[in-house]
Amino acid sequence: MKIKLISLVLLTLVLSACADLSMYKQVPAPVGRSGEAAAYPSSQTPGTAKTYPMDDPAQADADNSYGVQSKPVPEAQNPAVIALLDNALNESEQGQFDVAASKLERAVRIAPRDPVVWHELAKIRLQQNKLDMAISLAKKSNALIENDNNLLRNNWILIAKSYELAGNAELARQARINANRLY
Amino acid sequence: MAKPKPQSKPRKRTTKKVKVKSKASFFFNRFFFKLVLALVVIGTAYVFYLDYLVRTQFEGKRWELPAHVYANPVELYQGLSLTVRQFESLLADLHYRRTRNLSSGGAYSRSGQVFSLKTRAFTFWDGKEKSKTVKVSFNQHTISAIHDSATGKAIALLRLDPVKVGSFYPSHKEDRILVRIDEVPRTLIDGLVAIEDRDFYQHYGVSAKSILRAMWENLKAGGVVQGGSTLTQQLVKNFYLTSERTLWRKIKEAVMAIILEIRYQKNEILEAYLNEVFLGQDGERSINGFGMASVFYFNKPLVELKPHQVALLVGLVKGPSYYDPRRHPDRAIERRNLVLNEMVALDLLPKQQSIAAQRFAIDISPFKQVKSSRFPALLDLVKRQLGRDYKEEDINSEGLNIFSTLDYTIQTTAEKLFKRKLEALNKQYAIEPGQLQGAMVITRRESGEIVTIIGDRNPQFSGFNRALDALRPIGSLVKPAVYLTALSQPSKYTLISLLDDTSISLKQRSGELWAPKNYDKVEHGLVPLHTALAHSYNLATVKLGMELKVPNVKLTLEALGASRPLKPYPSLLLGATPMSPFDVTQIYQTLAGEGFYSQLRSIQSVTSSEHSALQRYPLSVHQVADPSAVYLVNTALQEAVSSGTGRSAYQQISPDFKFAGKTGTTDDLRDSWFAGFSGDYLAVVWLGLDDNKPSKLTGASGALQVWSSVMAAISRQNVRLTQPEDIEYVWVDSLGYRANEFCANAVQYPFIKGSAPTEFSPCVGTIGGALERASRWLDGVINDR
Repeated sequence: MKIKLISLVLLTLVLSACADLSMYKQVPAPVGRSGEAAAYPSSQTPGTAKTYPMDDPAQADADNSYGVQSKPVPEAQNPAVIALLDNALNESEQGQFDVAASKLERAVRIAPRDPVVWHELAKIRLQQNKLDMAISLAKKSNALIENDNNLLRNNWILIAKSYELAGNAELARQARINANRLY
Repeated sequence: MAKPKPQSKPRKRTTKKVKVKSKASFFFNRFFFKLVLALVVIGTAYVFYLDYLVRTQFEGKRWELPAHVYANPVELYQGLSLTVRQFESLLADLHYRRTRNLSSGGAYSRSGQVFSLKTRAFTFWDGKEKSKTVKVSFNQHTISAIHDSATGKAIALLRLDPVKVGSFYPSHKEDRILVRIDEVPRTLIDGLVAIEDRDFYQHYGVSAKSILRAMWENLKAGGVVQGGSTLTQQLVKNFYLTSERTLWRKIKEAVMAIILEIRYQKNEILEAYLNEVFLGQDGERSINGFGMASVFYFNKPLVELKPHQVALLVGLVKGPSYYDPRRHPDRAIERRNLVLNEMVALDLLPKQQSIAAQRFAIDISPFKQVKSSRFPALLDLVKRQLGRDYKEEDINSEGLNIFSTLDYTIQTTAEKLFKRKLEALNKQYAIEPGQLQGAMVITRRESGEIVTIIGDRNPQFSGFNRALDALRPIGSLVKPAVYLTALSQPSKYTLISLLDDTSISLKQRSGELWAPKNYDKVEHGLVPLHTALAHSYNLATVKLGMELKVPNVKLTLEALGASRPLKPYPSLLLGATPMSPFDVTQIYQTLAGEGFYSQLRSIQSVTSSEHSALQRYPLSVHQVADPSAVYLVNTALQEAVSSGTGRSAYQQISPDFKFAGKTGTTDDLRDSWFAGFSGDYLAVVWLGLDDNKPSKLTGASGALQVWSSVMAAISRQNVRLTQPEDIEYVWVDSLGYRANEFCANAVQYPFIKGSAPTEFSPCVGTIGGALERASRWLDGVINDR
């Protein structure tokens, strides 16, 4: 009871002190509660940002051609995508693989056909030892690549590693061969 | 202390006199003694029971919290194609206020092509976005720059808070946002104490002073104008008891209030009160607690409220319906000013501030929240997908934050166009008014995330969800699976293989003959494979499928993502198998993904009521079909839209989009389907009548019309198919011989390497030879120099 009384007195004191403060300067309390999801701002422009001149390449309709697909002009990577790739890298270095994957999926929404993003996603899954997923993502990345032998090779190396870890020596060997063809 | 102590009657006065007096009296006294004893025991037990009741509920999970479903947040970045008008309407959808003063989150100002906005803080699965003030500049149809107003630095990516698209409520439909006592503005607590229970910090749950004061006021007024209940008693009443007005309940309430005061600190009681109190009604949904009321009335978090707004909320406690600021602004203002005056009277607010606050007119936000049923088809799907990992009662009561894949802008745009087109078609084809039904699913082409789902002609109507539950034969939508099966055998089939489009009749299991016909009732003779698919010839397809063997086509369909049981009968080749629009979308997702299967997803992630990360539904892909064969099928599906059954699409939209898609029409025009993709989205539309009567629409005249009007509005990317390594383009003449670009009528077709014709056309012999000689001569001239 004593404690109760003391706290009552204290509270009254606090109350009267508060009443004197300007009411328009309320200390803002956080909205919602801070949980485990820490503050990972995703918005700093990385130093590597390139300029962004992305117009769709003009469509040259070849006469008499059936289903010939227009070749895209190689696009400079979007700074937003670069920022997310950077964030993802930081997260994965800290072992936050799922947060990293989530950043990369945001990048997929912005640049769904950027093979680099899919490759990075494959790397995360390999680090998590999710081998099936890593292989599929690397294959998807390969399917989207046009004229980038380096990335093709990196994907095949990643696939080879994944098969090795999965204990599939034959498929790993074939993937190595595919990678070596690209040197 | 709180235990009622019934006065035991004196029991030692059992003198001889009495003893003698009468036996009856003796028995009466013993009986009375026992009765009192029993009462004491029962009373004590009852108090213990109440104590147990108070503690378990107060310390356990106090409230069932609704789950909230959010749309995918909008991410702004330099280069995003977005017009100023679209941006402004997006801000309106997010309930941003246009104002000069960017003092709190959710506000913006605009000067020409430049917007200044103060964003709201929000915690996502992967982290927290802080509130910040930024400048967003536009340039024609794109965002040209985003800068942090404070530092002037460029911002690469700005994620806005997401639109809330719905909620799952507990059975009692109470909606609340929990607040902690240390997050609550001091004015709110002061105001509440001043007007509702000025002795709150002094009393022990019940206050004789309050009761006397209330009685005096009521006597003066000649009626009940003031209640003597303390905040603690009010809490007990709301929290534990029913609203019946009996003396017994009053006693129980008082006892429980005292128990509560003994057991807990004032601040804990006050916090519970602030979260419990009823403050408004929105249709079926009840607004409880000040956190929710702040959003409901002012569209702001509690901490951002000004004193005049806080006072208004405090005023509502007495009667949320009578003082409803939306319906009775005058009453609400009067009550608010009373609260402010009481605060001044108790020295809880400086006089000049009260005067300043009273000058404010009513400034209630016009936005309530999105109704819980605004996007019924999506919520239905989310609940089903979530149901695999969570129990129904947890979904409804744990306060989960569910981040869906819905794209708010695309969903609302598609809904508008869908509704309009259906009404027009309904009229145009003289269908009984209001009877034409439909469903639509739109996904992101590469990831299978569902951005839009519509399950009724009136998309906001919550009823039968046709996108998931209308099982209809898919007709010609099945054909790409037949042709994919063929083209996966490049040694046997190429795009230019000739198929026999002549009548066929097959004996069915029942013994009946099945004799399919072409839609135009014409036999086309020998036709190239790509033409048969693009023009959807039934006879050629059935003959091809019989050659391939129906079970193999069934396997292809299953590999692509068909999940319902399929019967390997020949009629499967023409799509005589029921599927929902959602099922069809899953199959076409694999074609749009160029041979990669992605499970359709409506949820990205889930966080707890306290924003800790719970679950993520990650993007996954799996290669299920040969990308080269899928490439060939997709080029034929592009032809289907450019010059086949889907060509009317380009009446509304540029052929540069190079859509790939397929119409589907079932017997007697009962079902009208279209499935196809642009560079960025895959969409499937079904139209028909619920009673399965003919709707008079073909895939092209019905579903395709809806499809193309929506795609024209949302698509930004033309279809680019990545050419797999083992695909080569080869010139072929009209007879199917290998040719070159100088041959008349030669066309370049894609082939899986090694499958192109090897025999040369005669035209290569003459012109090709001449060319060879010419080039040799040219080489000689150059070498001579």
